[in-house]
Amino acid sequence: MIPKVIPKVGIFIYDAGGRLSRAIDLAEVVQRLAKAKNVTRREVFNNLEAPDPISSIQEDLRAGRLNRILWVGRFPDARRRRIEGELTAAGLNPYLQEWCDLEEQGIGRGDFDRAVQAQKAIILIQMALARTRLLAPLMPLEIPAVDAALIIGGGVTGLHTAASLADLGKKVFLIEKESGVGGKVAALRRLYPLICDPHCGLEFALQKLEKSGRVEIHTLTRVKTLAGSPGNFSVRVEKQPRYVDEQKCIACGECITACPKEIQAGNTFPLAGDFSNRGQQVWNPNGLEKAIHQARPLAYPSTYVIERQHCPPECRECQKACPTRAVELEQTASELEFKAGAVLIATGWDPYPLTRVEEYGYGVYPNVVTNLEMEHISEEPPDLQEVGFIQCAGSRDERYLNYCSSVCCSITLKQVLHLKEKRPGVRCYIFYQDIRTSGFDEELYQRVKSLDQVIFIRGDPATVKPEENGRLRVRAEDTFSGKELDLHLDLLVLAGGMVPSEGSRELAHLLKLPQNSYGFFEAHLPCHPEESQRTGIRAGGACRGPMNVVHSIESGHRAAFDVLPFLSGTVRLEPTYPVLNLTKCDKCKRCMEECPYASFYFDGNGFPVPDLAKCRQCGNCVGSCPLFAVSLGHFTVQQVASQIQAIKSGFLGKEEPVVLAFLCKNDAYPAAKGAAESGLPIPPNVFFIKVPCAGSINNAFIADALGFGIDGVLIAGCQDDQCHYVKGNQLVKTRKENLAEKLQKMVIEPQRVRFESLEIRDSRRYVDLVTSYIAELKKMGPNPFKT
Amino acid sequence: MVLAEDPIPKVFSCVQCGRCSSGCPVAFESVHTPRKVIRFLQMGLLEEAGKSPFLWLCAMCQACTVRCPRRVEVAEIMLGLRRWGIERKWVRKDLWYYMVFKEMIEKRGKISELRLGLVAALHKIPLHPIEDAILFFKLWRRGKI
Repeated sequence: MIPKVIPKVGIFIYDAGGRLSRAIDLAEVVQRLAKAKNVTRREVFNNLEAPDPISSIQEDLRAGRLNRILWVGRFPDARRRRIEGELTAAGLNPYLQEWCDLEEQGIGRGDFDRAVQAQKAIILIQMALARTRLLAPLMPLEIPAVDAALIIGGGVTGLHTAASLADLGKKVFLIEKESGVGGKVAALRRLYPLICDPHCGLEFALQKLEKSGRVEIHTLTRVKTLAGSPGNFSVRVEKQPRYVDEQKCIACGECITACPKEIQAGNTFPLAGDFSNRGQQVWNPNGLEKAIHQARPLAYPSTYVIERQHCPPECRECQKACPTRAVELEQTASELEFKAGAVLIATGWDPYPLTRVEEYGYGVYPNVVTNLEMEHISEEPPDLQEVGFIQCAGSRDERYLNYCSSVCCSITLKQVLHLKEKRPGVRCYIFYQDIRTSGFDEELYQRVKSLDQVIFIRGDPATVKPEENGRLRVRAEDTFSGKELDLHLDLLVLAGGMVPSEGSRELAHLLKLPQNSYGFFEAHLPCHPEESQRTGIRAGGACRGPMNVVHSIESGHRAAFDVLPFLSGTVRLEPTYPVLNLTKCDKCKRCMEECPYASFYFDGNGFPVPDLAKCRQCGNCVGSCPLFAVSLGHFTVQQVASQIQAIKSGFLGKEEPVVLAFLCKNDAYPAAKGAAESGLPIPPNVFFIKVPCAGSINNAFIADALGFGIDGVLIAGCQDDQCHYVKGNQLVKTRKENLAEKLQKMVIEPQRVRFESLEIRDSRRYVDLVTSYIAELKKMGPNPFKT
Repeated sequence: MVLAEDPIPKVFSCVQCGRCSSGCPVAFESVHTPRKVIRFLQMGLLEEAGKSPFLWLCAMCQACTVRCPRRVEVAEIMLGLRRWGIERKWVRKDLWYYMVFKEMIEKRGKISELRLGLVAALHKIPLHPIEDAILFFKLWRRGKI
């Protein structure tokens, strides 16, 4: 508890260039403040340099004659920071200073009566003074944290991000559910735009990892539980048995010769959908292999792995053949626990199951393949004459996948280029709706366009029919000429889309991470693209949305950058975190439900407690509490209530309405500030209070204001879906509906509370809004509680 | 299928992918494909669309509607356009058979086949029986009767 200190406030009015005294009678203002309680010094100065007020304030602070400062007037930002620094040096806690800019509230703006403006200024100073009296000294919190990161997913994003984090000296745990790292990219044969082998980049990252010695890779591993808070997560993972000792296996391959069981090679190469009904294969993408084989997709770690479910009973051939006695057929699954400061998710994507797009016959006709299968076919193409490529197969289609996967156009162009290199005589038809080669991929398009015997057909075929000789008959309309085409193809390649991987879905369920309607991790795209709405957990790469290799690596790095503060040994928290008054709390859990970052948990007695490391200090819990038991540091319920109480609702006479505006600090406050800066006439009837988020406004504040006789309350938040704290404005809207009932009981019209969305540059709209609202309130008549 | 009064508002979500035309069983017969008819509507060329011969070739098989990635109800639009064309007198086609059929349904709620047959037979009097006789001869020569 903070010891009770009698506040000794010094009010310093800075009349910069005489602007304030031109608008209002400052002497009268000071005189009116003479009787204010707890004020030991009140001064007006119009020059910050000489005589220097700061040194005398420092003296007073040291002597104990002052312990809180209220600065009134307009200070340049740089000056403000300097004053704060100088007073902090004199022993004043930075949270014991309050800044009250009269000009941004509208003093000296517009053609209004001097006396009225002075009245408003006095009320504004009294509001600020009431708040200053209740200020408490606050210190930032420092929580010890683990300097290790956990990366889930060992694909291209995970590996590159791990390498970069290791470069920064952080310990990294990388977990991967397959037997080897590499992910989907390891299954590709060429990357555009260089048409190079993707294994080269992956090897490069792996070498970096090896060299750093700070990365622990666990394959065949899945997350089981995640507990703890940012900076101190503890993750339990389950490791499936490999049946080969990683310390002993030298990957000599003798076991492979000995193994009697041949199996269909699986996930080296992801197939799109169920293949049970696929006819005779012209192309077997994965081929056959033995039950004991190298790690997949990339043979890293080099240790072999046994697919035990395929082993014949009692077979011990590999064990007998192994020269180093590495095979351990009795291994069982084990559990491991890691301590990590932050979690990065890079669980990637899966191909869209094209078997669902029945009209193209994937899985039914052997020579209809996906673009992933084509990766391997174009590497060693069989004898082909005519090949068709259908773009947007199932994508951008309301029936299947209603988005563009952004990479398929470039992939097809790359494959055509590569195929034509190997077999120049092949005739390629590309059926497309739009070719989307953004940025430098356009070069690829132009290169393909210049090739001979590559025909772009703008129009998608509706169906694919088999022919007796094994070829495919495809009918399409060339929408440019309006001509119908009837083509006979040897091979048809479907450019399928990307969907979030099975692992992403699993993890979203396990960690309760919000997903968008397509199943990708949701984020506030323009401001926090790698956001997962859970502090200390970030998602990067293709689990966030369809993207190419370059973008996934970038996205992974950006996600890693976001969590660096949790990896530096200590997590520093600003002291403006929520504090619960447990004597008031009745455990209704409203704060827990409305917290957008799920940062509340129950303590031993069943009270909700905020996990301060997870908290983003948006204050939505302050707004949610029906018993106003939650306060943010520096934004306590008492402080706001005292500010509201200080407004004299009758200062303009009974007929003239008074409006209290709560402005969100992200968008609405800058809009109001901009209105004052551009000299727009802000009516003297409006007072605003800056709040962290529209969601932090408790209904009690509104009821208080109306109970004190304020005629109207205006809440200004962000536009829908633009809230930085996910859902502040939705919360206000639902709370407003709940409040309407209460207001009707108080015989107050619900129209006296209004919610508006303001964008950051809506200055003129802010003024128009306030003016029209005042006119509306005038028509409605005065608040019945007004005295 | 719900009969819409106005076919126009639904056409703007069309992206002109051509799937309706490439799967259409009758488009090869027509100068316009269904995609083109929709395009005319998008461009505001209502008369062009209403006069398109494709409307009367359309078999209402719904293959286009089923395959449309933007859920445009192509067949329904074609039906709406037919109605439009009749209302605006854009249709040069002989519509007597449709009219007789419609009238019968409106009056009685069912068709009397005998009446319909008679009306059809008498419509082209006096040439109709002679035409039939020629047809009979042809059929008999090929051994169909």
